[in-house]
Amino acid sequence: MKNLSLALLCFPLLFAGCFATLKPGADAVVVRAQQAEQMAFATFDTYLKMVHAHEAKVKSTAPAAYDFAEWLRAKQPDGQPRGLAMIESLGRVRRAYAANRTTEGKSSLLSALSALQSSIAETQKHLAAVQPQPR
Amino acid sequence: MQPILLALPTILSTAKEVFGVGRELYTYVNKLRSAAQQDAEWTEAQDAHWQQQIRDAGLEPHWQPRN
Repeated sequence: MKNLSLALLCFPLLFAGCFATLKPGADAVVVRAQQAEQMAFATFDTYLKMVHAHEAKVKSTAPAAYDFAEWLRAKQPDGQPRGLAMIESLGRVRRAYAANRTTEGKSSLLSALSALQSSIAETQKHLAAVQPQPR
Repeated sequence: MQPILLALPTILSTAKEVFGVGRELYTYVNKLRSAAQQDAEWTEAQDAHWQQQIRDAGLEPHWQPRN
């Protein structure tokens, strides 16, 4: 059940690049960043909803998953939870690059994109761990 | 028959839990698919709407730290 669920979760990401044929004039890196922001939000939000719905059980049976949820929820200096702050950070870098398309800006955007994609993958790993197991 | 009736609350509770998780996962996969189908850069209005959505999410109960 857990391996199947993890496979199902990763399936759309494996084919993400194949789904979209970009419209003329669209910068592939900017669109990829937009995709990553939306995927990150969907992933973090779904994960935290599940942990919230089964809080006591997750805390006792999957403490690592619970700690990761707390890590995502930790308030940052701007008052936003860390998970949302990471998405906003990529958004800022994306907008900065879109306004001024330099090689350095593109490099910064790709770095920020890679960092967020790592967090998405980490969250999906924990998402598989918090699903109900057969009794 | 009686053992089944005795086990029914547990069966229903598990089914409800699995169905709830299944529904969340189905919604999640659809959101991933929708994100992957983007084919253009956002307009200012779309980007502003997205930023507001992120800000609003920070107020939801499941996003509040416990400690």
